[in-house]
Amino acid sequence: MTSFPARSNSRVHRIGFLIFLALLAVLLQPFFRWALLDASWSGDAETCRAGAGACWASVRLRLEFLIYGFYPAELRWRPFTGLIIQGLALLAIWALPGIHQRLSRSYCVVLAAFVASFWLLAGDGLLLTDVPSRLWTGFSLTVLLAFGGFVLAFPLGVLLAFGRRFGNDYVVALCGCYIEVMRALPSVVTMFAILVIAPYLLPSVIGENIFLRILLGFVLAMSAFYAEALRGALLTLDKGQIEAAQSLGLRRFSIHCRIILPQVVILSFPALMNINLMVFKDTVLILTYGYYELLGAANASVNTQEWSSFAMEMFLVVYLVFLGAGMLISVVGRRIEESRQRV
Amino acid sequence: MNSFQRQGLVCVLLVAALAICLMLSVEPGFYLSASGLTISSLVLPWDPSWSYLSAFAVAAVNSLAAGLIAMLLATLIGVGIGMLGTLANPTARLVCQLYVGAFRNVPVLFVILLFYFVGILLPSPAKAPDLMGLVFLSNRGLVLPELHLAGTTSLSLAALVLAVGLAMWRLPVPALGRLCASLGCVLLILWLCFDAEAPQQGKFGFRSGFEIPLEFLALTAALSFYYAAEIAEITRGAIGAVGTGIIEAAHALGLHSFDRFRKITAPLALRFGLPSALNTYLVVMKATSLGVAIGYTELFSVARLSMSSSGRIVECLSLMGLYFLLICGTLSLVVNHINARLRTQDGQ
Repeated sequence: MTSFPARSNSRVHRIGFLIFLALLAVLLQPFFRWALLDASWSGDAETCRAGAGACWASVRLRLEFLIYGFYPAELRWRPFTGLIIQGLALLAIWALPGIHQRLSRSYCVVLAAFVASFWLLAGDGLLLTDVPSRLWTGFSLTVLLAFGGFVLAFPLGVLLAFGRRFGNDYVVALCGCYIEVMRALPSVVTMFAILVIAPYLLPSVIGENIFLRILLGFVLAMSAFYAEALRGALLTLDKGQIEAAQSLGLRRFSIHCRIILPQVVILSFPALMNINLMVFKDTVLILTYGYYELLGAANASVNTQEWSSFAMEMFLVVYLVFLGAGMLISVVGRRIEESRQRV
Repeated sequence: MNSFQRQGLVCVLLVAALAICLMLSVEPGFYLSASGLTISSLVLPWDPSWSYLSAFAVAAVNSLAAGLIAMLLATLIGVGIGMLGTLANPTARLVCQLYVGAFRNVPVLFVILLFYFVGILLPSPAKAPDLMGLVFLSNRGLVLPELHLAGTTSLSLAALVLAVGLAMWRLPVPALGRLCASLGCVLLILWLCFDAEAPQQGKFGFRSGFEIPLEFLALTAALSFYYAAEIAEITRGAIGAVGTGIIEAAHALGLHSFDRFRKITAPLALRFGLPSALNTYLVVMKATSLGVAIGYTELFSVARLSMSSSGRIVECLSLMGLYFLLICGTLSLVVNHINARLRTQDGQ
């Protein structure tokens, strides 16, 4: 029952592994037959119903919808370029030691990618025509929201955590109340509340742009989780460091930015990467407001009469996308963490 | 005024400001006015002429039911999978890693929708597959037999079994044997006490039987399997955190492997794992609000329904916020209480 050093019974282990493989083969064989051998790769719903296996044609026909959603067909190069930029940003962080060895540079790369792809999707009315935010949908929206959530919620979370740790009593109480309330309420409820109330309180630039309203709610909800992830590291930080920095004559701002923040981020790096993964996963919550990101687009496309019996193919594709993106996030995070530990 | 008092003052002021804002904007009569909502309730009865407040109460009970069952099932599955991960057998550890890895990178909403669509693809009630003619699984949900109390002969037999079981309790048997025997006894007593009436299959539905709707089934199953992965990680970490020296000492004392687990490892691992497990339970309770995506009648969906039917945003949102703050407060009180008790018991 425990990891007590048992006798080396490797033969038993080998037999167990063989039985496991055999079971796996028996279980996966019908799946492979369904997914590969009997599958129909092209055609329409009629040819799919005639075949016995999976209907990859349904995914192929819906692929553009899954990625771009309702974005105008002639302007789809813009979300495409945005996705490429965001992918390149992650790749650059992973590949270039000059970037992943410096935390601030990694953050700036993500920030630049977010700003660039936001500009590409939104347009500015001068160089690129404006596209209403209702139409930004599909996978490009998922990635944009995840990048935006990280870029904006992380600094806010840092501010909250520092306010809770170093502020005067009033700031401590305010930040504490905010963090605890945001963590007690489900993110889907807070985001909905902000989505509904924002038009009454905010100027029309934000109030009429649905993406910005959703991003606002997302950032306000997620920043509390970032703050909570940083709290443990802030509590364990040695006070002597601050005193040493003060005796060197550093200003308060540079003590926080150059001494405390880098150490705290590295100390709580695994927890922060978990929150990043959570931010990416929580982008799907907006489908409950009828705003289609990747999962919402998949859900909408299987909810039609024609394709309703081919839901599993769509869900398999979405699952693989989430699996791949989650692995990408962990790989990039591990690269940053390893490069910091080597120094 | 010391710093603790000042922080308390800010909190009190915040709460007071919020309360005044709500009092100014909320019309209390709204809660008692007739709602006219048509919602499908699982636990409590519902009538459209009842007030908004009772609609919220019905929905809150639905949320609680889904959350509590999901918590229970997630614990059972998760502890089992997590214990597989601590075995010496590499295959068992691989199974644990595969399970956790399969759920780690996907959102819980995805799993809920997936289970819902799997349920929709099941056959209709007329062609529903069954288990021994008692339990039916169709695209409307799960139908269980109705239970009636059995006749006097069966009841007296059950009492006899109970008496024999209690008499045998003092016999010196190993703990594992005692566990299996008592489980068997309980099952036998339950089987004797109740008569099951098989559900009648009709053309468009079931004429009798206890019906659990598909939405509830998909939500609880998805939450259970998804959060079982988290509980499995917590269990694995907690069992791994028990010092090897303690277990070696138990081994040297001659404790059998099951006794070693039951008397040494499990109590210590419980102390390590309980705070994080309770945190996961809170997440499960919050995640029940995702049932809105598949049309399960929980608090968030009823709040949105009444918001769109009455146009009162602040009233509905504040009531919903109150519910979640209550749940969170209760669970944090439980965490603090348990932590304090465990610490005083063995000075850890």
